[in-house]
Amino acid sequence: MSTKNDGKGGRWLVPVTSVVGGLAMFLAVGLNGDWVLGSLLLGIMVVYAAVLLLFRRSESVALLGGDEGDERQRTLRLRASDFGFSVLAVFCVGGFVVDLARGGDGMPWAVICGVGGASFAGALIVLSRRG
Amino acid sequence: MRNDVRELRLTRGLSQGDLGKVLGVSRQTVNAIETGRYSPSLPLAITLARFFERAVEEVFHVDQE
Repeated sequence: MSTKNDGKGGRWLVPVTSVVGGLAMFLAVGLNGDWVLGSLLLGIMVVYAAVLLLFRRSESVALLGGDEGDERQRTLRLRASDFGFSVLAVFCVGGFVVDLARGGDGMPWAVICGVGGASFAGALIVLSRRG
Repeated sequence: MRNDVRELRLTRGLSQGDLGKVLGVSRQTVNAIETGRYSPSLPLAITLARFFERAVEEVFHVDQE
């Protein structure tokens, strides 16, 4: 069991992924005629990538930027993921219920809830069997 | 869980960053251990105790109810 910060995760992976994602949004929105919104989305992603690269001395920023970190930092990441997933689950179930109440068919909320719930249950089963 | 990491570190004249380098963890993690905000894993606790040439229970003290 490693307790150490093994340096994996890559300094550039998340920032480059952010910029590539921004370019994809820029093209997707721009090709539909709204180049201003596309540029705005690209700008947001570029600024985010720049923050990740420029403020890596901050522990929070480094973790956001994909640093694997040591055992405590991995625990922080797991707890943050747990919190984020819980918020997302409440939001999706809420959206599903509101859509049904408005006479909708609950889509695409139902699919999102289903994928999230199935992923959670599946991971729990596999991890519990692995010990 | 209380511990004597800060006292042991200072007797060696090490900064939190220095100790973090020795243990392979961040300075923030050393600080979190010293202030009791984070309880290290068993392997890290053993590594810490061995570094200070102490037994684990001499470094970490479980608060009795």
